[in-house]
Amino acid sequence: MKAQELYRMVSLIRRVELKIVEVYPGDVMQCPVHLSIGQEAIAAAVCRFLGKNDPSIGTHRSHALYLAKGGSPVGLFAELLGRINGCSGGYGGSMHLVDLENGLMGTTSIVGGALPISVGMAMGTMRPRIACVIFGDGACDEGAFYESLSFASLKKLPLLFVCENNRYSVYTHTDQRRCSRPLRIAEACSVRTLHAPIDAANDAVTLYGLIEGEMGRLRSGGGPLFIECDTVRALDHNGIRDDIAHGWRPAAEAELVKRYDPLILTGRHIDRETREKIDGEIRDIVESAYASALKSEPLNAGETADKALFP
Amino acid sequence: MAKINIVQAINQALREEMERDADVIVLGEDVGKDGGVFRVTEGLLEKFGPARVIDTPLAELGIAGAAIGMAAYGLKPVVEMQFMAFSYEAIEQIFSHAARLRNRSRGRYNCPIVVRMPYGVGIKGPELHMDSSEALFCHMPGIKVVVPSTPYNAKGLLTSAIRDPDPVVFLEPARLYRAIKTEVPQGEFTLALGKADVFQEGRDITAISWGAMLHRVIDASEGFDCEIIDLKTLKPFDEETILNSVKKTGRVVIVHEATKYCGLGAEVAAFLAQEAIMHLKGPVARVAAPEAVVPMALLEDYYMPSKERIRRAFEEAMKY
Repeated sequence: MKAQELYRMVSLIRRVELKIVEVYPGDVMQCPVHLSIGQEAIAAAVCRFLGKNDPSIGTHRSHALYLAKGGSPVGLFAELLGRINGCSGGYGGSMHLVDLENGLMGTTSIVGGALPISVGMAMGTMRPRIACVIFGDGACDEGAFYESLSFASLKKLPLLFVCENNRYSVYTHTDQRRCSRPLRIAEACSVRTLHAPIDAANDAVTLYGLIEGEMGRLRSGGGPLFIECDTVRALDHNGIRDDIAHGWRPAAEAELVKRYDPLILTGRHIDRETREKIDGEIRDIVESAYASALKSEPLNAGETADKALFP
Repeated sequence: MAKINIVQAINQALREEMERDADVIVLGEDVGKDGGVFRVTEGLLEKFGPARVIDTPLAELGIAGAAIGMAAYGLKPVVEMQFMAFSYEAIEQIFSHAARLRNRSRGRYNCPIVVRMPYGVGIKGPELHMDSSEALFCHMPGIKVVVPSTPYNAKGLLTSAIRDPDPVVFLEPARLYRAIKTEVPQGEFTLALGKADVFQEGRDITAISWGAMLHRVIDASEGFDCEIIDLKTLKPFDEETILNSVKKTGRVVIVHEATKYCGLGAEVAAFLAQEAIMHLKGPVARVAAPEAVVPMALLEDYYMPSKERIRRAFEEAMKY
């Protein structure tokens, strides 16, 4: 049952992203998008351990987090389309998603900007609630990364750090930017760490099993937990282009995308018939969500200006 | 009523607001055991304990971010930055997140944080310890900026700032911390943000200032029929009070410790050019710091708008 639910989430994230890829060339979404394809399993598995009352915060690449935290596809599509039914009222766009009902406090386009805020969220939470921040390896290059780990460790906060390490900051490889893995910094700050290699991180069922024990310890007051998930970005940093095919990342990346496709890896845990049934249901949900988002009213310019400062 | 100084008034406001509201948290470098670099938070740790008075790592960005996260969670953190320029480390969090959360969430949640910091020249500190960068914070939509000029103002304004649903940058004129004492009511009392004071009525010149410069203006005004306005809230500033005064006097001198270029005086002058041009008898004058960073103590008096420079501006204004 758990495997089915995890697969359903991976399938939903994939299908929503593919819908964006489909409609994007028509310029209906006048908003930069940073797609989660190739990295869906991480948010899907991690968010299974989070309730609506566990505050979470993410980055510019957070469609997966938004959906896995329980956000509606209509709210996401409408946001990208600049409609008032968008999860951020059509004002914030893909990089600034807010869904308080599901405990998504926000996502931010400033790399590393979410990290210090997550520390404060964890300080404000009382067990058994926990706070969660999901970020990429790029955020680990920022000074805010060390400040946040150190502060969270010092105060033994109920905070889950999830690093989606796709090794690329736009097109620059981690070896050109870093002297060590992000989790080494966490270890230096006496934060408990878990490393999920790509075959585990891109398979929601395996990842779920890998982190289950540590998640229990986190919730029962064991202090912060740092999970580094090796993964791969299927498409461009920003937009819907295949940057590997264009030569911006080495061809070996395409091999990883193929070999470690989260939809396929997660799908191996359930039978083909169930998979196809779920995929069919998800396809209908996503199509009808997009149609519904298109019916939502665009943001009115005058009203936007009036509300801009203090809505 | 007891006469107290600004340090005591701020301490009292924090203490009383923390007693009334368990959500109010104080955090910053050395604010607990040490009571802060200017001893403003003295005694709070003993009274409220380490969960509500938090000695943080030396990491301004992390401190501001933690406050924002707490605020998102319904707490009301009051952050202390040791000196105004130290907040530049935290500007990423203040500008990119605190200022924008209300707008980004379309009003579904606010960011009720207060960032307190000593500011201004006159304490024989070096540069980066006496900056007056209020205009920087005024420029970013979503932030309120408040400057008290007396112990009375300090208590009433800080209490309002803590209760305000939006981020407030609360600038404490360091040179005034222990320099003046006024009567301050014991117990709960607030002063509305966004309202200026007419400190003294007059007919010939409207002198606009805030913080420590208010007292320079008062000194300099002898012999002039000056209407002295203490702006108190810099963002949003009290347009009505300024306008009413300028309609009466027709002459305006703005005095601030910050440098002139893109200082807040420019915004006030632009406002008057638009709203009061027919009432102005002459150009709006600004007395400000020279276009340079704060010098060492020997040159401090030269750097700060002096009584003589303010008087010269008044004399010039009276030629129209």
